[in-house]
Amino acid sequence: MSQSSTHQDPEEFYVKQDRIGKGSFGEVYKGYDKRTQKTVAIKIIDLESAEDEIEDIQQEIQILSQLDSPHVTKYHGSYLKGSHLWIVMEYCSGGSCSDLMKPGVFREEYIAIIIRELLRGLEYLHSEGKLHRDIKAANILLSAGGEVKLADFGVSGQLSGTLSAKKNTFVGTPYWMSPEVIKQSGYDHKADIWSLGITAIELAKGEPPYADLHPMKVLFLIPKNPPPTLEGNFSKTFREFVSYCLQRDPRDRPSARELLKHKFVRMAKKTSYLTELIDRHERWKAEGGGKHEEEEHDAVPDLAVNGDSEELWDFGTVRHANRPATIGRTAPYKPTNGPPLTWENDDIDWANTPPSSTKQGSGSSDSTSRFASSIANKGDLPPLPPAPATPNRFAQDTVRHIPPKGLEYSSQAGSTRHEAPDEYDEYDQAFEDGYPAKVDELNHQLEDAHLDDDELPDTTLLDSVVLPAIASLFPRVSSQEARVALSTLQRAFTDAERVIPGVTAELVNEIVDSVERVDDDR
Amino acid sequence: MNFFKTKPRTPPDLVRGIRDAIPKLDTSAPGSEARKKACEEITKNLQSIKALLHGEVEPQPELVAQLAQETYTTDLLLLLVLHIARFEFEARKDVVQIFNNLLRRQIGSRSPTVEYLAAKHEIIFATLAGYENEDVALNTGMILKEILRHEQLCKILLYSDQFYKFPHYIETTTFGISCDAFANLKETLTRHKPMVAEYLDRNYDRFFASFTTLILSNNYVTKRQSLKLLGEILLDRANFNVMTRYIANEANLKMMMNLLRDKSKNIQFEAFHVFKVFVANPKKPPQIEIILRRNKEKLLVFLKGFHNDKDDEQFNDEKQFLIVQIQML
Repeated sequence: MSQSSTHQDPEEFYVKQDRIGKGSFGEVYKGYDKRTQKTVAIKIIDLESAEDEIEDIQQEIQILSQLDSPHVTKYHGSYLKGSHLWIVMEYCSGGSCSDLMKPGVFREEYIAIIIRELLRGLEYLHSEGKLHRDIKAANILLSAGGEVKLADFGVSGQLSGTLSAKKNTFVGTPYWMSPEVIKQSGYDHKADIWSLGITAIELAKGEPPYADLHPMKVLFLIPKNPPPTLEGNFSKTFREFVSYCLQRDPRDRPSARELLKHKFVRMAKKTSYLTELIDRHERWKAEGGGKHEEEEHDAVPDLAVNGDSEELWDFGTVRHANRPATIGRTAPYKPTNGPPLTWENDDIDWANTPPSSTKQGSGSSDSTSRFASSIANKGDLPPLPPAPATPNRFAQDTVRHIPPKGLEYSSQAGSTRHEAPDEYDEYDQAFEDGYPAKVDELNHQLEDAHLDDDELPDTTLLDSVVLPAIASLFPRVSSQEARVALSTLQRAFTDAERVIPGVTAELVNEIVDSVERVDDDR
Repeated sequence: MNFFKTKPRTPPDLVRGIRDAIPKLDTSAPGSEARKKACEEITKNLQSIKALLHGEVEPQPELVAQLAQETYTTDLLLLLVLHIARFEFEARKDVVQIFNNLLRRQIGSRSPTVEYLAAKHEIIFATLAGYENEDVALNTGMILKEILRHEQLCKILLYSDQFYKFPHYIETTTFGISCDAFANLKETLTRHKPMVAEYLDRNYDRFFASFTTLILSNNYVTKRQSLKLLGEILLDRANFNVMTRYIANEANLKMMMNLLRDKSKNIQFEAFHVFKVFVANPKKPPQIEIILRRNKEKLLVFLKGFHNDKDDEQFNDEKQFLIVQIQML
């Protein structure tokens, strides 16, 4: 293998070609290794706009780098180009099972092969103390020869060998989530077994259960309803296999190793038969299937280049002859007379504005100046919560935080800013990262407030849907007053939930029903 | 099969098996049968040792003690770290598990492996040098992380010249490894605070000369992460003296003011959390105050337009506080 060299530019080693996918994490391209001509998949994440901390991404890479199984897509390396991270992975030319299903669902005999291979992949992962946490057809890839590979560990978590073997994070995709994952009551490798069962149904029927319902409603139904079953014209062994995976109590679900002994997969054929699914998809495409699929741009924009960093501040020294000692009106941050950024602003696409404030496009200097202009136009500073205050009054408020040396306030800022949202009692702080990243901490707080028990209405809808939804509005409002109003709204929901347990779930249910105009299934 | 079951190999057997096989990795030709056999022997013995330490059955204390003793007397841990790159993929992972398991092992309040390593500095440095080989850097990085949890061992690294290799490793490796090296640098500097505070105070110039190269790195991640770490170090109470020195230096202030205008919003934001300390200082040295005063109007305009889209009450409060402080200059 290559010895490490200096700051490797991925483009020295890899050529990026067509975009083949897009996810919450970023985009995936096909490409090849210049040294070996081997095809690879390249995941590109812009760290500047990624919501995850770099440390978290590093954790994922650490996990990937320790996996080596024919049933898991192989990790080749990661490289930085500007603020864009390239994660180079094994390329599977067969495509994902969800693509391969586009010409039609799979026959049972094919499903049995896929499930057996998935079980082998899960057996490996679980023996390594790792969870996948997002098993679904879209994350199952096929190689040209029909080998089945688990992909997209974007959300995988490692179970600690010494600490509690239960994870407490809210990840995955609602339709495939197990009841215990949704309820955030802690889960282990059995959560993957549930998702496998749902995936089996997906492969057989084309969709997971509840696919026609809104995901919010599904979060509510999965813990409440009896587990789904495989209905239709399928063998008894297949239906039995699915029912083993889909048991409400995770302890009742067999492990991957045990499931490999089940008749359904024991009878399955060789993986090379799966190439028929790939051929079928090729034929379907050749006949014009999937013509309408979107072909979006493949540009990954670079960060906007701001002005030269030497040009604004006056340090009283002249390092460059061509730089004037003072720069006044030409500085790039200079307020312009553009419209203030408010709710009505056309620049904001309500449906697509991400919760993260850093995702405001690539032009950082641009948005800064727009914000600057809104302040300048108003001619005063935004008032502070909880009550509007004059600058003097505010100064006193802040001083209150300052211990003898006058710096402790910032010490708190430095340490809590990244790690301890549970120290805040404001929901907007806890939800800084938006849905669903920080749901956990909040849930713990709420559980402290009123003891949770399986029979009590759970507060998932409040914690995972409503509060984060309101939190996601914060970056889109410009005034402190609006932010206070949103905080109040969050508190009102929380209060209502305390007085009328379950009310949020019912409200969401009502809204979803009326919005979707689906028949209520109760 | 039964032959092996009835005659389990003892810890000294297992350790000897590995020690005998390692030289064969060097002497035999690559790809040769002899090398393959040596590799397999190592893999097999490491698996047995791992099973002995945390297998499916409860570990037997006397066997574990025997194994630990054997690794100390033969310097097995050093051999493992030095040769890990020659081992098979799974065997490398087993080395990490075995090393870290032994390191965590306690007898009462004593940690025998920690005591052993404290007398064998070369093992710590060999682990750090793992960053020189990208094939194993993440494995040795995991061992290093476990080593750094122990103050006694962390101190050995911090006070060594080898400590100053971190910036080199961070700057010359690919993303995953660079991040791992950075994470261990951070671990060294933040886990055992009073010990580190004393070090930084005593070695202020050398440390910051080195650390500043990371802040000025052309690498986006290195720059962003080292700024963030700088903020954490300065704002930690244990480092009060260090902070006072840092914020009295005008070159540092200029660097932060320029970084406030970096093209990356994340870097601007991290720079803010260092810049604020200069401004919040109630006893600003004249050279600092002069710069701030000279840029007073520009700073006010700049800060009023700085990251107004942030939904972060604490940040907004701090920004307002800085504005007020600068207005009063």
